[in-house]
Amino acid sequence: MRRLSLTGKLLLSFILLMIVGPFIPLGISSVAFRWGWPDLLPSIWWWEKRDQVYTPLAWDYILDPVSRIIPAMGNTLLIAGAVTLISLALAIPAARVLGRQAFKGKSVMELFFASPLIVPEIATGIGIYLIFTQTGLQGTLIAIILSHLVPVLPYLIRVLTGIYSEMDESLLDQATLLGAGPLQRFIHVEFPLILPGVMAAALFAILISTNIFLLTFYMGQGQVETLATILFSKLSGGGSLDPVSAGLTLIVALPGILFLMFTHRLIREEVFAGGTSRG
Amino acid sequence: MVHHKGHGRGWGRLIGLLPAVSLLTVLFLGALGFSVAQSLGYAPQYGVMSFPTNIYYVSLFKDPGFWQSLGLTFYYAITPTLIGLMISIGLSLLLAHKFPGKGAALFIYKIPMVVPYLVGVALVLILFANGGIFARILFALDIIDRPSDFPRLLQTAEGWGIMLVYLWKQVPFMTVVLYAHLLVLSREPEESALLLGANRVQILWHVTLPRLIPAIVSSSLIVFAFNFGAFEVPYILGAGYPNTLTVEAWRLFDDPDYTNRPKAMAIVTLVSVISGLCLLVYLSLYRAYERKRGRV
Repeated sequence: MRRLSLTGKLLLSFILLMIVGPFIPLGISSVAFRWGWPDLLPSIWWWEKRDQVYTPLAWDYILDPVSRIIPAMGNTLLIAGAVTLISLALAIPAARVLGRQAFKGKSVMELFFASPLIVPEIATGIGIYLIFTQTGLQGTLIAIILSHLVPVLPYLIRVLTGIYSEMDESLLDQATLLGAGPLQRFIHVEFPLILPGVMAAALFAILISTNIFLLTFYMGQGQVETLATILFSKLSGGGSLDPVSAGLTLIVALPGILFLMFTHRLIREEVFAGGTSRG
Repeated sequence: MVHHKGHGRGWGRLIGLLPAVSLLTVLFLGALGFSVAQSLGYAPQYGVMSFPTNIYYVSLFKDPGFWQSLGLTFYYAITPTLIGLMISIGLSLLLAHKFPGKGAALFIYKIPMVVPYLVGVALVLILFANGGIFARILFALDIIDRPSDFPRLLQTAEGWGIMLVYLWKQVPFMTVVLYAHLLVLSREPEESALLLGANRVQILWHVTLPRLIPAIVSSSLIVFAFNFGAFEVPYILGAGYPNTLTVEAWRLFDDPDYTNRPKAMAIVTLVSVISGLCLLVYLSLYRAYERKRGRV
């Protein structure tokens, strides 16, 4: 591997600055007391007024029940948790078959599982909404959770199929030869082997679910709010960004950044390359 | 080998696949079926019962607004894909070098990839709105006097804001794919080319880039398909009219007059079909290219 030249270093620093630089005004805005045109920095910072307000105004509002942001955070986590558990329960048995067996119609099956990743979310979204209006489920958490399975499940099947196809089958055969039943073999041999992959897949599932906006917006029908739908309604007003939206944006970005911290050392670059463009 | 038990495996296969297949059949195929049926006039819940009819498609094709939206949808999808691809190739090549702080760099550049598009929208609003950071910098430099002197970049049909969000979000994604591909490639062909007297530009163009083609194709394909069907970014940062097909579909679907919904479903169906066709054409061009390379 060659060393980077000075020009290369400058170019790289510039690109990295473009990527994280925009977060700086966002952070400043969320702790400003007064930041009007044309000031480059706030004319009054929050801590200059701390005898009047204990927390920065934006954060005070975010934490206040009036803003409904804390329950939205609860909904977001509840949905992500349920989506992850259900999709793992469905994806593991499917990936087990796809990754370890060759059979007629396997490529059709793989195409079927890949297609929800290709069709635009708006097309599936409106259709799922129509199904739920028929059954009266629209506007409920259940509808949102079920709709999130459509993008998450195919993704997990893909990741876990890769893990099963790389698994050392001879270990399972040895367990059988030593007299282990199918259940014992799964619990003591197979599950520990796939566990690292399952953990990575679960983190991806949580990330995809917390980042979904459109499906939540359709299925929730304004009756179930998540962080993404609240941020959408704040931003769609247009105009410049107010401090509350700035703080809320930072909260919405947090799960992704935590995810990176958890997985940075654990997950190889290639696994990322498997693709969360839907993030 | 222990497990070759013919019928037993068949049942196991069925039990393993059935739950996932049935869920996606109902929620994915069912949803698409519903959309297509409605676009063909099957919507008894709104009193539309003219199935099968093509009037919704025909009225779209006759509407110049549809073609304008289609053009914009393509424009917003392709431009950032191409520009992003060039930046990503550069960035992945830079990252493949040795430099101090590499661990931090590999962490930082992935941040946009793991946050929602709405975060990118918020960042574009704070930087490029008429009272935003860049307008203030120009004021400090005495170039403009009022927020209204700053060029309008957001909520116009030019779509600068939309494409900036796509770029910010997708350069990291494409870079991840390209960089992962670079990591597994051996450096030998590059080194031989160097020994044979090729300069750096020649090596990049004739050796490295052709070997990156599979990664370039797969990453730009995913990004294009996403941009083509994206909704929230053009909805917030695009013009009220004209805008992308997805925003147009949403406007019709959200109309208090429910009889407009089949038309919305026709747009949504067309978006899926057109995006699928583009992927097919692109993939077959890629296959043709690979065959040609194989023959040379």
